[in-house]
Amino acid sequence: MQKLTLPKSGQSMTEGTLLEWHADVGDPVSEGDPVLDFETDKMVSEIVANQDGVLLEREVEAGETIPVGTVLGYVGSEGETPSDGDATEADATDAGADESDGSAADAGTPAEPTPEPTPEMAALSTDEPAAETPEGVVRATPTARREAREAGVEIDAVAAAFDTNQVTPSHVEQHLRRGSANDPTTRPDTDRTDEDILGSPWARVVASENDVTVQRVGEYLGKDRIRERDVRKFLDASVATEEASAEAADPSASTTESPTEAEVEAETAPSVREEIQITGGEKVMLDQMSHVAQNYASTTTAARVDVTDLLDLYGSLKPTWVEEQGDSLSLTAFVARAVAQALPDYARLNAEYLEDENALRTYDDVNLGIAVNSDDGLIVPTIRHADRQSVRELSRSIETVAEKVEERQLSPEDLEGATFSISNAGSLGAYINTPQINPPQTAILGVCKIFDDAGVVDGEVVPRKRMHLCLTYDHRVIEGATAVEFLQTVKSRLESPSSLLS
Amino acid sequence: MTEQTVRESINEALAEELERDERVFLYGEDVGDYGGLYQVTAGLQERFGEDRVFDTPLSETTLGGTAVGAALTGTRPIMEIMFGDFLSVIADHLINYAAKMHFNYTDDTSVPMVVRTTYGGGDQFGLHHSQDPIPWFQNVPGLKMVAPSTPSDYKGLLKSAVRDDDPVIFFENKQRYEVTGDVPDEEYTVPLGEADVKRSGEDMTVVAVGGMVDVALEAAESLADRGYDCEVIDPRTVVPLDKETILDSVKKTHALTVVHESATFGGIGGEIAATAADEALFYLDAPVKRVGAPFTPVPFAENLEQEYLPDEEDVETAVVEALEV
Repeated sequence: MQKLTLPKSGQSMTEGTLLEWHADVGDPVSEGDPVLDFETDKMVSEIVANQDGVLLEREVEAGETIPVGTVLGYVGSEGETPSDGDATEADATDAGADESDGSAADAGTPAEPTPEPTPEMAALSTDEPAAETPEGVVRATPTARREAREAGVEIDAVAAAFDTNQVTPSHVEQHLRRGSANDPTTRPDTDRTDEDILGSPWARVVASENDVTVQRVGEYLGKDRIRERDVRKFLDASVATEEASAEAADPSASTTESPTEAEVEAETAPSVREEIQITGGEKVMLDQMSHVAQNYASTTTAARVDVTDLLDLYGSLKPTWVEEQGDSLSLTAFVARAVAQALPDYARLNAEYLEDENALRTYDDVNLGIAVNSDDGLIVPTIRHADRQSVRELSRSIETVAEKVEERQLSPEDLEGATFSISNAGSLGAYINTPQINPPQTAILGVCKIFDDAGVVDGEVVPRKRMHLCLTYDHRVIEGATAVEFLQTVKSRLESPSSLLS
Repeated sequence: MTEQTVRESINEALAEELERDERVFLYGEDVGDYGGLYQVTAGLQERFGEDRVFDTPLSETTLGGTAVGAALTGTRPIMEIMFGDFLSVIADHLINYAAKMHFNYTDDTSVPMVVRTTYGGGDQFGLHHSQDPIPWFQNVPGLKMVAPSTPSDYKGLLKSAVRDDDPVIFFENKQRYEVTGDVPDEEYTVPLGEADVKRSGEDMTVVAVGGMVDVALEAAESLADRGYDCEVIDPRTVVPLDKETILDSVKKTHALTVVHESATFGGIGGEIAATAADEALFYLDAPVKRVGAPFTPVPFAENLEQEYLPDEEDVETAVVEALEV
C-alpha cells in the first residue's frame, strides 16, 4: 500500500495546500498516474501513484493547508484498508493476534501463527532493514521522539522531510532549524525551544491547566526559567489585557449593559462579501512581510536617473540583438548589470542578517532576485552569479526565469540563494515605489516607470527620459550614507550606459 | 501539662516503662550508680534495683550481643551506647542479627530491643564522639530509627520504642537534653512512623531531622520576617519514614528543603529528595535543597566544628536559593 504524504520539496517548505484530487475513493489508479496536486511556496506539484490499484482513502480534502509529512491518503489494492498498514505502527501485537485467531481459523486453515512481522521483530532482524518498505513504518529513537514531541512536530513529518524511515535526533534538529525561519503556524511556541525556556514541573502543570505554555510565559516575561509565579504573572497580565481590550472595544460595558448595542453594531457594520483564508503563497508573503515589518528597520532612499542615453543605447542595440540575432534584451537587464557591478563594493547590501548569531553574513557571489509578477502573485526567482554576466547574458537569464514562472516550472532552487533583489514596478506604471526587503536579505532596489521630463543640457532646456530608483535597506546594519552612495553609483552607471557593456 | 527538659522526659519514659512491664530492663556503661553520662538515667537504679538497671564494662560488643540474645529470650532490653559513634562496634549485632531475626524464621520471632544512644557535634568531643550515625543504618531493613526533637516526643516515642517488637535505635541529641517543653501529665505514647508538622507554612517544606528541627524552626522564624512562609516537618521516625506527610506538604508548598546533621552525601536527605522527585515531581516548583554537614569527619577545633554543623543561616540560604535563584 502506498501512503500518500505531503513531501518536502525545497528547503523553506513547511506546509502545502492540497489543490485537487485526480481520483475519487474507489477509483482505479495506475502506477505513474498523478493522484493529487498540491501547492507549496508558489509552486504546484503532483504526487503520483507508485503502484496499480485504487484510491483507498482521502485523509485531506482539496483546499486544506497541511504541514509537510501529513498523510493525505492511501493507494492500494481493492479491499485493502488503510488501517492495516497503520496498525503495524500503532498496535502491531493486537493486529497480529487478530489475524492468527480470527481470520485464519475462519478460513479453515491450520491455525499456524501468522509470521506477521512486528516492529520489534523487524528491529531485531538487522539483516533486513526497513528499507524494503520505504513508505512503511517510521522508526525513531526515543530521544528523537521526545525532541519531536517537545517541539510539536510529527515524527512522520520529519521522516518525510528527510525521506528516511530511521529518524535520529539530528534529523529532528535539522528539521526544526529549517522550519523555524518562516513558519510560526505549524509549530506554535517553538521559536524558542525547550532548551531556551525551562519550566519547573509545577509551573508546567499550572500552565497546562490554564492552556498556556511555559514558552509563551517565558517569551512574554523575557525569562528562561519559569516557575508557578511566572505563570500566574502571565495569566494576570493576560486577564488584565483582555479586560482592558474588552472595555476599549465596548467602553459602555462597565457602566450600562445595553443588549441592543450588539444589534445596533450589527446593523451599522459593513456587510461582508467574503472572508479569504490566507494560505499558500499569500501566507508566505504575509509571514515574510510581517517578519520584515516587525524586525527590520526598513528605510528607503530614492534617486532620479536620467535614462535618455540608456534608452538610446537600448534602442540601438535592440534591432541587432533581438531582431537579427534572436536574442532577448530588457531594460531590467541594464539595471541588473549596474547593480551587479556596484554591489561588490558595498558588501553590506549583498548580505544576510543572522538573527540567532546576531551577525551579518556578507557574500562574495552576487545572486540577484528578480521580482516577477505572475498569475500566482509576485515571484522572485534567483539569477546566480549576476556579476559574471554581461547585459546580454542577464537579459537571457531574466527571460529564462520569466518563462519558468509563467509556465510554473520553477524548481525550489530557482527561488533560493538570492543575496539582493530588484523589483520592477515601473512596468506596472509606478512613478515612485518603495519595495519591501526580501528577508533575510538586507536590501532591495525598486525600479520605477520611465517618464518624460524637462532637463537642462548645455544651458538649454530639452526633453529627457527619467526614472526613479528606490533603494530600501535595513537601517539596522547599513548606514544611510552607504546606501545613498551605492544608489548614486548605480545611477551614474545607468547615466553612462556604455560602461554597462564592458 | 508539665514543662520538662528532654532529659527529664526520657527519664520519666524509662521509669514508666520499667514500672509497666517487668520484662523491661536497662543497662549500659555508667547508667546505674552514676545515672548516665548525661544524667538521663539518674535515680532509676535506686528505684528499680540493680537487677533491672545496671552498669556494664566498657565493651559495646558485649552490650550488643547480650541485648539481641536477651530480646530473643523474651525480655525487652533497653541498652545504652554512650556515644552513637560506637554503634559501629555493635553494627554486626544490629545489622546481621537484630534486624534479620524476624525475617529468618517463619514464626513470630522478633528482637524487641531498644538501643538508646547519643549523637551529634557541638561539644568538641572530636571525631570519634560527635558523629550522626543515622545514615549508617538507614539502608538496613528490619531496624527502626527514631530521632525526636521535643520533650513530649522524646517521651512518647521512647515508650513506643520499648513496646515495639522490632529493634529500635533511639537517637538522643546530646546538645539538646536541656531543651524544655510541655509534656502531658497523663499516660501517652507517640506512634512510630508518624511525622509531625512543627510549623505550618505555604512557601517551603523544610523537613528537619532530630536536633535540626530546632535549627529549622529558628530559620523559619527569620525567614518569615523576610517574607518566606516555611512549613517545618519533623519526621520523628527516620525509618520507617512517613512519606505521606512530607509529600502532602510538598504538594502544598511546591518546594522542599531537607536538613540533617550528618553529611549531605548519602544522608537521609537524599532519600527524601528522591522520594519527592519520584512521587511529587509535578508539584515541584523549585530545586530540592539538602542542608547537611560536609563530607568530612567532625572537626575537633571549636570554630571548625561550628562551621561543620548546619545552622539557621545554612537553612535560610538554602530556602532563599531554592525560591529565588
